[in-house]
Formats: sequence, structure tokens, C-alpha cells
Amino acid sequence: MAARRDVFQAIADPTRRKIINLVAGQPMNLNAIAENFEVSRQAISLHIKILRECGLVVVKKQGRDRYCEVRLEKLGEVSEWIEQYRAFWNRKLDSLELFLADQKKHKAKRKSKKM
Amino acid sequence: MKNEIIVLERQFDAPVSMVWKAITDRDEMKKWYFDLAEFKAEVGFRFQFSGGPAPDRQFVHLCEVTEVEPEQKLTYSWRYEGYPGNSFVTFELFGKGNQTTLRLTHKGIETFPGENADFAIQNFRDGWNEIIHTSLRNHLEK
Repeated sequence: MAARRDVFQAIADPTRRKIINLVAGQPMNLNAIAENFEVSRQAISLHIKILRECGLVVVKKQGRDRYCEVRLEKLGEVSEWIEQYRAFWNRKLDSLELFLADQKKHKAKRKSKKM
Repeated sequence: MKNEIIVLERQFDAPVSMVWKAITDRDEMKKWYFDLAEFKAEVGFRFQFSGGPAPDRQFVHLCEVTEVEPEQKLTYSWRYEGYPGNSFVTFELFGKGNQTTLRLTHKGIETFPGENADFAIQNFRDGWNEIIHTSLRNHLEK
């Protein structure tokens, strides 16, 4: 199976999520990013490569430094996806509410019959 | 990026025992949730059901109960047969007399969709409404 390279793959990993959060405020030098993590520089480079392939960051050269810049537009796809689940669960809870109201009515009926 | 997690809270005009029964009793679940062959609020219990945006676009949901605290908390995993990814749905109940607050949390949704077109976002839009809402209403108004 070909490696998934979409926004969902990009944010599935906690280290990559942290990298996005770090560079969300301002572009950061790759070394500076790596300093925030316990894992090796190589591991961070690989995560940044994946983020690039997923379209979430771009790496720009400035002299001898390489800076990582965030591209947040893609995250819109995620919130759209999540929103559908939110709508789905809201409808389920509406259904549960109706069901519980109905149950109560039935119970009340049963009680009044007994009396 | 906290919005990957769905958290919904809803207050019901029913005691906690009644809400717990509604989310764990197979016959009651059938009336508002999904029609399962069996359900047990026991860690390790596995269940599956079919659901999707349209009758010809159904996905087999595979779930396993991972956490049970009677009348307080129920968690199960939630994934789709034949697709990568896994998520977790938690129901938490907070009873107060004849009122119950239900907090629903769904984590890990972002692990699902990928390059597979069947799973494209648009395919999921609106579809659930038809199945759940309409059928439940019909049932209640009989």
C-alpha cells in the first residue's frame, strides 16, 4: 500500500502535531524545532518531510538556514470531516432524547393503570 | 488542534439508571441508536453493525468495549471494516435526581479518511439523518 500523504496522516502522529503547533506562530529554523524534542534530529527531519509531503508545511532556505513554515489551509479538510461526526452525534442525541421522553410517557401510563 | 475531538453534552429529563439502560440495553438501543445483534456492557465485548450515508453505501462498524463503570462511563472503540484508523466513543453520565447530563466524547476521527474515495468527506454528508431520525420518529409516532 502506498504511504498515505494527506492531512489526516499528517496530524495522526503526536510529534507532528507538536511540530505544527510550534511553527504555527512563526516560521522556525529546523534546528530550533529539533531542540524541542527528545528524539533525534533525523527523526524530526523525517516528520517534517512527511508534513511537507502532506502539504502542511513548506521548508524555505535563507542563507545557510532552512526554515519551516506552516500551511494551515489543509486543516480545513479535517474540521469539515470532524463536523460531520459532530452533526451525526447531535442527531443521535436528539433521537435519544425523544426515546427517553417516550419511555417516561409509557412509564407514567403503566403507573396510572396500576392505581 | 483540539477540535479533532468531539465533545457534546446534553441534559436529559430522566434519571441516570434510565439513560444507562438506553445506552446499554440492546432492545432500547435499537430504538434510537443502531440495531445490534447483541450488546454487553463488559470490557472486551465486541460488536458490529452496518451504517452509512445511504442504503448502497454502508460501512461495517467494528467496536469493542474498553471501559465500563456502571451508570457512569462507557467507552468503545469504533472503526470501519476494511479501512485504516481507529477511534473511541465515550459516554459519561452525571445524574442529579431526575436529571442526567450525558457527555459524549469521540476521539481519533482524524485517523479514518485517506486516499480512498469511498471515504471522501462528501459521502458522509447528511446521510445519517435519513436513517436515524426519520426511522426513529416513525417508530415513536406509531
